[in-house]
Amino acid sequence: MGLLTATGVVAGYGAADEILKGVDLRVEPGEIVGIIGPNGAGKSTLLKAVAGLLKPKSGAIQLDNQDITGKEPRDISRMGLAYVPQEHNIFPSMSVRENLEMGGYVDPKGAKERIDGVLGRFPVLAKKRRHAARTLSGGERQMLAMAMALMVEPAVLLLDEPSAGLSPVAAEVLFDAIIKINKEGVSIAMVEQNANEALAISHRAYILVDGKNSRTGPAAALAADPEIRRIFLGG
Amino acid sequence: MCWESKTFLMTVSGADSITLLPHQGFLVRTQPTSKLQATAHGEFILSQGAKRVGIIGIQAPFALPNKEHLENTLKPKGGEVVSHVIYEKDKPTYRSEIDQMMRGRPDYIYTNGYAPDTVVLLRDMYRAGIDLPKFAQSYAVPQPTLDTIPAEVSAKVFTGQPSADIESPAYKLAADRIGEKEPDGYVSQATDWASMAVLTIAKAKEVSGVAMKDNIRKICQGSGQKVYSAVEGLKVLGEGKEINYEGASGPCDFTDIGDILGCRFRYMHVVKGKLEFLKLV
Amino acid sequence: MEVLQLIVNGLMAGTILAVPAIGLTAIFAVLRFTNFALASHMTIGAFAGYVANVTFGLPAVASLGFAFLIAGLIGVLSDEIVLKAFRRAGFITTAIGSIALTIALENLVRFIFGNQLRGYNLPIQRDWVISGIRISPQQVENFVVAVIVMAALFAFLAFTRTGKSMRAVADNPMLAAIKGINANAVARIVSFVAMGLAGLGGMLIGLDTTIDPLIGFKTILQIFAAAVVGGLGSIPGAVVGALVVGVGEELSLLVLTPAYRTAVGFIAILLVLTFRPRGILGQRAY
Ligand SMILES: Nc1ncnc2c1ncn2[C@@H]1O[C@H](COP(=O)(O)OP(=O)(O)OP(=O)(O)O)[C@@H](O)[C@H]1O
Ligand SMILES: [Mg+2]
Repeated sequence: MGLLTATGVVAGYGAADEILKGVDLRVEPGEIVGIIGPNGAGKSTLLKAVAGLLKPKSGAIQLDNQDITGKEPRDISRMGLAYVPQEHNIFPSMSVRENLEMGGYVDPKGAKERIDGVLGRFPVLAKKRRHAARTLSGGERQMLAMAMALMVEPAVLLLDEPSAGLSPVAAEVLFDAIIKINKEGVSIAMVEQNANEALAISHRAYILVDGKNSRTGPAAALAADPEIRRIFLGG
Repeated sequence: MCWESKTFLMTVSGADSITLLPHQGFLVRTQPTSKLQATAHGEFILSQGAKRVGIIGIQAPFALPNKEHLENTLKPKGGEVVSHVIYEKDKPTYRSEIDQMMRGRPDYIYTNGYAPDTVVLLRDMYRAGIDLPKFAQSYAVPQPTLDTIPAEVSAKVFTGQPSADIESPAYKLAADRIGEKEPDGYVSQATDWASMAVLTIAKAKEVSGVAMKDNIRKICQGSGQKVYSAVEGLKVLGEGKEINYEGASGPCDFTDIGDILGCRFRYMHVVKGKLEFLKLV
Repeated sequence: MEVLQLIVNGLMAGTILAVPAIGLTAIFAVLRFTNFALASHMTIGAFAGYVANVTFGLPAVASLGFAFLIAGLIGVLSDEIVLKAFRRAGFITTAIGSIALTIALENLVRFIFGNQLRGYNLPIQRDWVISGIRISPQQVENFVVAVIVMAALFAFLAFTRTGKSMRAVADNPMLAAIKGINANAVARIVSFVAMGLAGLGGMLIGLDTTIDPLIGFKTILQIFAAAVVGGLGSIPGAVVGALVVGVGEELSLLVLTPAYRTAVGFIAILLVLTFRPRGILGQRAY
């Protein structure tokens, strides 16, 4: 049993309720798991289903051996899973510090210490703690979004395309931060467009196509696979 | 419309325009026109020794004609309208409007609005330290409204209203008939309609709108014998004589378009927050 | 001198106007509709304060607290019972529903208190004249109350957990849900505070004048203009917008006849929507 396991998840939106057509996902303690696949494959949908924003039609999701299928996001977040959406993942008119407070909203006790801890980990954010989040650069915003997620001291962190829209340099800085967070003991499931980078820093990876698992395996093995190279890695 | 169905209408409408309709004579109005009212107000203001009148009134169709009539009354007697401000209804304060009006340095203020705005005006004028005498339509400062403001705010307020002719025999007869001690202007007008209708029908010897329109002026004005009630009028008519009905609300003489020619006005002043009778003109 | 007097008058009026305008914009920021029922809540507040002041003999400032409380509570109830159901159907439907609600509530007040004008139990004082500028003690008192209330509100939004969670919902409701903020609870708090401010604003206006059941209806247009001009959804915007409308109305007297004062609100809305569609301060909640 992994730290996080999803089996046969069917989920979607309203009438289109089968965007995911029975997807499996497993995250072991200490892992970085990459999720890649073409646009519209259902990668974001999978993360939303796991985080509790979508109620799966069928299938089961467990966190640390507890069933979280169909639970409220608030409860799932209290149980140690934090989710960073692909976009609109900060409170733009609030200050960096206030964003972090809201990140830890469900657990106000000891918030001050945790804020200091998180700011210690992200010096760029510490420098701008009083600035409104909307004034941050793209990379800083992603940092902030991750930092907010860390405020609940999660066991598992779900990241949806953290490097989207960032310059290569900014993406590099971000991936370094993700590796560091992982080294401190947080398991990570990360959806990425940037498949090369994703496979480079992941331990294992899933390839989703059209709402179904296509390939799964160690990231290095997938990265070496000629067919995958051709389709997803541009050569 | 009444003239289309050849029905005869007697009304208290406050709108001057009603008698200007093409009613072909099928309408008389016992309520005085705004010209009659403004002229009377002007004479009252002059009688109070005012020379420079500042007008502050609500945005309404009567605002401009009223000012003109007032001006026409004041001018020949050495008075003048020194400022004229029209304000919008429903504002919580009229400070700036009052300032604007005061720029003409009036010695008398003529307000022309309704109760909600007039009370705001009075408060704001008090605050601004304006202690000039003020005139208002009686409906703009009824006693219940006065009760909501401190007495010092309503000091030197005078009100005027068209009045029943309370000194006339017709008024006394009407009061006895109705069993009220002091019937108001509207009640008096209504009893006059009834009396005029009866007398006109008696005169015309026919019940129809056309007969009414053709005969009403034959019984209520002219050189006939003055009568003060329908009963009395019928008797005199029965004797084959001409009559001139004099009503409880006034002489009941009408112009060609059906406006009342003259009427009485009743003036009150506010003393320590209470309306008191001043005079009948 | 004249211009200075007009500006002073406008600032005084605008500051009072800002209190209910904040309420309107706060509801928009969090619940995403313009709640015209604000008008009747101003009336309710004015009359609640009247009962406290005239019937129970409380001083005016204590009565203001009463006005806030009663209008706030009725605001929560009316939102919970009536408007919440409308919200699923979208912005326009809810706004129209709020108009129906305001007519119903206003008539309830009319039914209980009647139509006549009423005044608070207050001495009326002559204006102070300070280097040629007239200003009334009541205006100054109202101004101070309005400023204190607004300062308290800003402190609440800036420094309390509840206040911050309100801003978070206004800013990004989806993320607020992910972070575990209870949107229903926030909606109730917003209704309470916003309608409380409306009630307080209604009474502040009444303190300077008189009250009747239409007191809210008569000012809602200016309040709406203030909120739109400042940027619907922005609380500092509502303050700026209220000052613009207040001062604008007064200064318009220099060029327009006072009979067209209300046009100033409309003109301001038109100008702002033409040149800055999101209002002077945009739609940032805070
Ligand atoms: N809120 C929504 N309502 C309805 N359909 C949606 C919604 N969000 C996504 N979809 C649909 O679900 C499918 C999968 O979308 P999803 O966002 O999960 O894809 P993705 O793999 O994350 O793609 P991308 O790489 O572009 O982010 C798409 O066909 C999309 O149109
Ligand atoms: Mg996606």
